[in-house]
Amino acid sequence: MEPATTQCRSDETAREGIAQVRPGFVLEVDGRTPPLLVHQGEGFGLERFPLGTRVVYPPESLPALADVDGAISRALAEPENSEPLRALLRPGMRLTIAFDDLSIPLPPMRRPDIRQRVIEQVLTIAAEVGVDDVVLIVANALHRRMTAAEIERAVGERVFRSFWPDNLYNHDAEDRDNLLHIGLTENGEDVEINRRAAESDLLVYVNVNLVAMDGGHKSVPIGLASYNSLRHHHNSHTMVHSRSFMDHTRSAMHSSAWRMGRLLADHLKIFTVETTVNNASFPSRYAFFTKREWEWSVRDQAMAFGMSRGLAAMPVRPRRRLFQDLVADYGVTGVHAGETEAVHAKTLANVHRQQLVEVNGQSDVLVVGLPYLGPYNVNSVMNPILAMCLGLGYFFNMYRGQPLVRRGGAMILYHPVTPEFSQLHHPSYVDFFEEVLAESTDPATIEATFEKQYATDPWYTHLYRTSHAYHGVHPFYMWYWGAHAMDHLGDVVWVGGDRAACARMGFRAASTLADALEMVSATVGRDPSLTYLHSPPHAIADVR
Amino acid sequence: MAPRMRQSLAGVGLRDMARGWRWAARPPVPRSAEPHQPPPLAREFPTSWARTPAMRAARVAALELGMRPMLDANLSLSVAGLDAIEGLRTPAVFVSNHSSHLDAPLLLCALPRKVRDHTAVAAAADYFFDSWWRGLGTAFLFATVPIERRGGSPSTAPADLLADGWNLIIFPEGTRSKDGQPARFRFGAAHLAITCGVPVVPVGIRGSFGAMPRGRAWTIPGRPGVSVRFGRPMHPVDTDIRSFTSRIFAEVSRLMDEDATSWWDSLHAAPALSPTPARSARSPQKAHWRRVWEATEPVGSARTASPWNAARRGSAGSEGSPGPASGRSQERGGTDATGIRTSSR
Repeated sequence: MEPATTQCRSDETAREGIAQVRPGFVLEVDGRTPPLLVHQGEGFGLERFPLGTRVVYPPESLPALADVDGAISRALAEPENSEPLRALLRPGMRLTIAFDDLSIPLPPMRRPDIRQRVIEQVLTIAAEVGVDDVVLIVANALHRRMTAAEIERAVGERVFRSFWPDNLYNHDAEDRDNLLHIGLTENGEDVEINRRAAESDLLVYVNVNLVAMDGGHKSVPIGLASYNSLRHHHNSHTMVHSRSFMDHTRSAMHSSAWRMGRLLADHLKIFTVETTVNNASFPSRYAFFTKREWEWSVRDQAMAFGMSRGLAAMPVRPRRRLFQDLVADYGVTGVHAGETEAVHAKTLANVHRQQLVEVNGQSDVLVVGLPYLGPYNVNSVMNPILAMCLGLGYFFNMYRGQPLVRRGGAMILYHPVTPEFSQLHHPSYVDFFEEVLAESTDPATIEATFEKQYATDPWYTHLYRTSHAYHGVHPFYMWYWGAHAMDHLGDVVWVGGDRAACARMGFRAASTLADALEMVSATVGRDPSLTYLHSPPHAIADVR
Repeated sequence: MAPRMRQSLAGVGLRDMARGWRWAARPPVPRSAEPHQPPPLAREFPTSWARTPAMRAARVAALELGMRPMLDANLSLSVAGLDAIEGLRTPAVFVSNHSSHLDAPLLLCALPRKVRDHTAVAAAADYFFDSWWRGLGTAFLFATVPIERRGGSPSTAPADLLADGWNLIIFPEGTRSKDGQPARFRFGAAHLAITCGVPVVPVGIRGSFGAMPRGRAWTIPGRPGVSVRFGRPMHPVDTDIRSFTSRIFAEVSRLMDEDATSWWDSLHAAPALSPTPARSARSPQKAHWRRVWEATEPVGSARTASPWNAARRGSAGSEGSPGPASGRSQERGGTDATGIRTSSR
């Protein structure tokens, strides 16, 4: 059996020209299986799963490109389905460079950030050609504005010093004067984006594609859009019919974005640069997070045990600081540039190579451990709504084909679900949690009753535009992210979750896995099949 | 308002950690993960220090004062056939069946001191040398040399050792038997003997599977019987590795049969000249439990009567079935200085 596997891997290695890494696989828990690592917010634990539990392990980290700058240079010079970048530039033109905000990659990558490396090369070519009118825009859509320090970290000191603050700034989705309505798609969807970007001779978009959901036409039509445009795909209907977010061909949200992107491409020259990273999502000193537990050295075991116990005893602030200061050792696995759809096809192949795991069939119960960080709480607090979005929105949707859990099945999530909010970053979340969820937890009802009020609230808008707050409508979007899971699942239980916060969201809390299984037994029976998605690092389950 | 639940992290205690990672033994690999394990990295582990005079002297002390008394306290060890190697003047490859971690210390302790002092044990590099502390321990105690059993570049260390006048103990099955019966012999031992022009000394070990099979860290209670039986040196008369391996396998199987029955009976059994299990070849339908049952049969208590003893007793006018084997053994064998039963039969 081993020689056949090895041979198979060798062939693949030779074909793809990469060093040999082990693919993801599905473990079946047996008597030899040690306790498994489970993330649980700003902490983690070691859990003994019932015998027979399937555990989906992501592939090992792919080797990083040895010469990233060379790869960027080649991508810009030999783009996909496009002229080289240098040929698209000319003196006197208006060049806009937009780039992904701090919501990816997670955790932030070690400096230099790949965005910095790409932008520096783009600007070097632009300077050589003689382009003077250059503006850089953070494509933050309705996310909070990045601080100067966060922007400087993403683009590097040289770029920051050259352009900040007049020609390097955050996109403002509420600045009516600086938005341009491009038109309507064939489905009547408004396409409205940043005016500077829309009126540029060339828009270069620099992306970091952490998971398959990112990139493609999701970059410009969403990252630089207004609420008026975003509402067409960020609603409960499209979210329920996105199966899943990780497969843009079967996602209603992506289909809408794709229609908008194609319309935009008719009006605006877009040169997309997409980059992919490997699975090295933790620094090397925390290597046990990414290793398979039975391969842990004594040092890994001691580190995991000591850290899990130490974190549990630590005060909140230093614990949060410890986690938020983590930077990932991400290596860049691919850089592709050119026409958006051609580039994205290559990007997706890279992402799938790194994250796809074949899984046979669904199970009755899906278990996930939610880490401390999601896209919307970088340098902030993960409040209950963001925890719900991370679990039911992102982790549940980490599939291709069909969900890991059967329709009517149960999902068990590990997270403390602490009812703690950042007044700076998430002011509208507080009211959403206290007022909206007290009335209803049904995404469609919430959307019909409350969304407009929050989206147009002048105070939230003011905080979004002048402070570092997420837009007033953002908690609604987070709730919609979970709509597909809420529609699909029969039961949701949070292990270690705050009981009141879970109840407010319409869920239940358990103190242990055994209790959670007991609680869901009314839905899935006393002997359910279990699947534990062992993530992060990310894995997309290709469920057959 | 509902009481706030204490935010408890999922967790296990130290005892669960110790059990989960088997601190007392080797960390386990879940069965479904075995196909996904990376091949062990071949790496050099220097062992020449373990063959220096000082280390040899220390090893003598460790074996004589530690290992041997410990074996004797926990096992009922009998050694036979030592006369076969008395005339051995050249280095040799000792080849034995392998069903327990006891086999190497048993063999070393069974060898005469003079031979043992220059005898090294070939040990799986991926198992005994996967950590520095395990490698150091086994190299010191058993003078082990690492052997790559899963392919890779063949090591020159065993041939060099033989050239330096050292004997080598090799278990050509490559791993411990799962049912106590000898499995297929690999060709390494025969290849080494042919290339280096040294004889192979076949050895049959019985009882070690029952005394301490896979998964046990210590012997079973009750001083179970274990026997080590040496055969006559076999010289590689031809250069066909396959046929020489078959001969070695047949002789090791015969020695085990001889120990269970008698020399005469073992000669009558059909020789199995292929590197496959002799007993299962004779009874291919034999169930796993029966093979285990047979291998765990107490050594010494179920031995059938030797026709020579029977004849002698018959001529002496005795009637009925022969007495217990231990009684016969006491008649013919001797006891060496350390209390291990020896016999020249």
